[in-house]
Amino acid sequence: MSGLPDAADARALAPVPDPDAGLEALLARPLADEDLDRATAALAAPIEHRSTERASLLVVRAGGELLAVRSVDTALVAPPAPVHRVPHRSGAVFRGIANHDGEILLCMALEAALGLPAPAGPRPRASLVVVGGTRDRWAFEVDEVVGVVDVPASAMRAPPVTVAVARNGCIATLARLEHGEASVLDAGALAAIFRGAVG
Amino acid sequence: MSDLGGFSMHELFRAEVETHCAALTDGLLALERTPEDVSVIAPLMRAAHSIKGAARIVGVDAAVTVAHHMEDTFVRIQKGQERTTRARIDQLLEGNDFLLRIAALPEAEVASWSVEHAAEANEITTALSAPAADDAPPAAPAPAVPPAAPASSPVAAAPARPITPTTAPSPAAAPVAQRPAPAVTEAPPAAEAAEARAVRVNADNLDRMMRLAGESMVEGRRSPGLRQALGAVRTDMVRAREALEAATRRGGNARIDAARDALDRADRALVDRLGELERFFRRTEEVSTALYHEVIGSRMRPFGEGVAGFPRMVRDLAKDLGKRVRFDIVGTDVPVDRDILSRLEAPLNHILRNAVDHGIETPAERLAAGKPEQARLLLEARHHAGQLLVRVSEDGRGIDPARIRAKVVERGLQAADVVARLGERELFDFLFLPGFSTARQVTEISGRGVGLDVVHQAVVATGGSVRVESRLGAGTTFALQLPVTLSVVRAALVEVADEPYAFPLSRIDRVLRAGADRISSVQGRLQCDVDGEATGLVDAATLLGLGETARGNSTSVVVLGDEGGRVGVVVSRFLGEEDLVVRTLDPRLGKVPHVSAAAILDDGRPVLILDVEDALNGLRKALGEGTMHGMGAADAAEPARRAAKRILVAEDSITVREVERQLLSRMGYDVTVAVDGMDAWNQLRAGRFDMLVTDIDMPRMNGIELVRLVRADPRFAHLPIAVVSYKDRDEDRRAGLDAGANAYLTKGSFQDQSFAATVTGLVGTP
Repeated sequence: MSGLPDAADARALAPVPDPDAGLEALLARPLADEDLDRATAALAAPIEHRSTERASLLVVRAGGELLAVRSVDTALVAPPAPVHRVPHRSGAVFRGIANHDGEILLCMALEAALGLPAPAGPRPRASLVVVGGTRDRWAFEVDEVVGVVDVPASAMRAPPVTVAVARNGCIATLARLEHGEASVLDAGALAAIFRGAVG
Repeated sequence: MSDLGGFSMHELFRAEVETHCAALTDGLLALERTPEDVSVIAPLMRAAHSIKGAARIVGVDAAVTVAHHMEDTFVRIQKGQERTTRARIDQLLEGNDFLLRIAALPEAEVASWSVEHAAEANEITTALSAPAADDAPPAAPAPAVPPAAPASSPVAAAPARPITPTTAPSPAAAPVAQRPAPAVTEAPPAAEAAEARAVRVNADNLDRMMRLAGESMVEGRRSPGLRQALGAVRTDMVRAREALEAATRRGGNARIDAARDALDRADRALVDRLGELERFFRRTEEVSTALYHEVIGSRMRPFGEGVAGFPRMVRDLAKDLGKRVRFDIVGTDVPVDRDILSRLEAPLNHILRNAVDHGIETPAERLAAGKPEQARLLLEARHHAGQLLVRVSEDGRGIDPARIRAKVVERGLQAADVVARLGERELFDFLFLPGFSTARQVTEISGRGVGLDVVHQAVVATGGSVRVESRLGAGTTFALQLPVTLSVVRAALVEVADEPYAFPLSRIDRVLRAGADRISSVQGRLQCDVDGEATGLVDAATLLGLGETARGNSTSVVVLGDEGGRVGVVVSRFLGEEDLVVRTLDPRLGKVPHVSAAAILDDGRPVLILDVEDALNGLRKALGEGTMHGMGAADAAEPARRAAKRILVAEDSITVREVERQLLSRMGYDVTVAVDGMDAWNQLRAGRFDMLVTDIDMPRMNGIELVRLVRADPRFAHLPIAVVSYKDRDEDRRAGLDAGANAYLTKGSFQDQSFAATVTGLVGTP
């Protein structure tokens, strides 16, 4: 088999010089094996995330404390919605179900899950925060959404063991912010507590 | 074009055989019914030929041989070289079954299975090669009197033909091609009809679409609130113009005139915009409602799709029992909710088996009774008045009411004198009792006394009902009435423990408001007179573990009932009736006692749909175990005393105080008044109150100080507090809420219901 003509052949064969022919021939040229291997390796290499250096956090206030959830663990923030108790299921941690855009969410009491003081009276809360993946979403109300902040690793530190144990292992780290120090919640541990409350 | 790259050759062979064998089954049954109709032969030949080709590619020789012989047989029938007999149809169906079985095997087992079943394959091919057995042609004459069927149904269109006994010379002796064209038009095979329109949709996508469509409708319906608010703005403008005109009359000047003109222009613009908005809202509501109905409709499947296997089942069963049955399905394209369709299969299967086994006589019995030898069995589906009606009717022996009466008395289910007075419909209802069977002989097929009760349970569980109509000697009809869809349920909305709950309308006997005269106490337990029947009352809130329901002057009762009797469930109040889109409960909750599903109300609030069967069962179990008891007279008195929730009103103006007191008393609350903040604080600590309503500007202790003091006391941390003041600036509102109030209202709220709504929202109904 003769294979594809190289650029010189293409030019020689062309009866009339075509200004684009050279470019086409260059693009049509087969890649050298080593180039192909290098490009394949580059594409196949795992993407390096910078998550170890910085973390994006949704910072909220609830139970009188500054709390944070990693943005990647947050599904949405919405206005609070009426909660309907579920007979024989609702309790201190599981409040009931709430409707958001036609989706029926399981609404939890974050303060009760973390052992924080309950909100005073049936006062309206500021926002509904939904955490978790498509099939494991959990909603809870907070008193204030402070905002989303990008925090460097240097601003993070481990929580004291007393807090980690007392809060059922839900506090992953502490993050120093301009508003104060926020307890960054471990979404997995929080979901485990929520799951235990509805079963 | 679908990607088939992921399938092995054998898997492709299996899929092809399944498709062609389904076509062969349908075609063979059609051929059996109308052997003179040669038009059905060509597709059968093609199907057999395709299977032969596919089997050759994958090297399944046994299938090649059987398919080849089937194809040859079809060729002979098409050329008129042989006529279609029932025996031949049997052989071809056996060949079809053989092909299906071999295709269903794992690839590795095909070779060994073929060796083991070589004799069977040989039997089939030998039989197909031999001349057709000289039995009667399969098509039997239609009965002289066809069963009742809709005028438009193809069955009714069949002309009556004379009875032809099996021993008579066969009309099929005439060349096939010369036979008259059939008068009966058959519905196209269900699968064919369905496939033409069906697309596969991911169930999750469909659920999300339904959710959003429902939400879009909810949002569309919310618009009237905004419309009313804009209407109120316009009313204010009209008043302002009237005031300006009055000022002008008293001696106007140019500035007033200019202001009036400006107001006129603004009014005209507002009217125009309101008109546009009105049209926009109407259109949005129409579109969202249409979208919602379309999405709900996408859950529908053609009825024929769920009953495609019945013709073969009936045919084989009739053959085994030596009976002649013509089976027709009418309404194959009637849309049915896919969940209902899947739940219908078992009960219909049982009813059809029962019909062939017990309902339909043997050919000899039919002839002796002056009926056509071939019985008619009709499965019919249609929509009527928002319901799906499914009827299974046959022209068999019918049910003898005297035998049922005797059986009922023999079983001790009712006294003989009562049974004698029962109408046929009531009598036939006994057929659905567990273990009740009038079949003299237990057979493999039916007549074991199990089945009809299961049919009843399955239909009831789907929210439907079933009844029997029968005339001795003329036949029997089972009529099933079902909801068209399980996605939408018409429900009675009630309030229990301040939250909405829904009872599916199909599952309740009735709702009623019972005054004190209809409620009495028997051994300390309350009962209500319902149609002359003493109906025990239970508290919905207690049943649901939500405390106790407070009763006022009249008691709201939802009457539920089943075979076990009636129960009156007491709820706080009735909220109305609504079509709810049923949403499954989150699986993480597990099976929630007495709750079947959730839904979203028109106002966007979630509501729980009660599982009436489960509630009744749970109730009886709890009553039996003594873990719950019927609503007692003491319960009634206690909630009545507690019914009036106590509200403390702190207000220094005697006029405003009196207005608030009267408003709240009229709503049913127990109201106590305090003349200032200090008075209120003292009363709060001395008594038990469910809510505090306070003014801001008061002597000795103002409202802000009072609220702060109350909130600082742990005993009152959860006490609902509403501030009602003349001050309507944002900073006043913020000060009140920051102090710890739950709501801040102005005194104008007395006129527009927001005061009443806020109080109810915070403390619940009285």
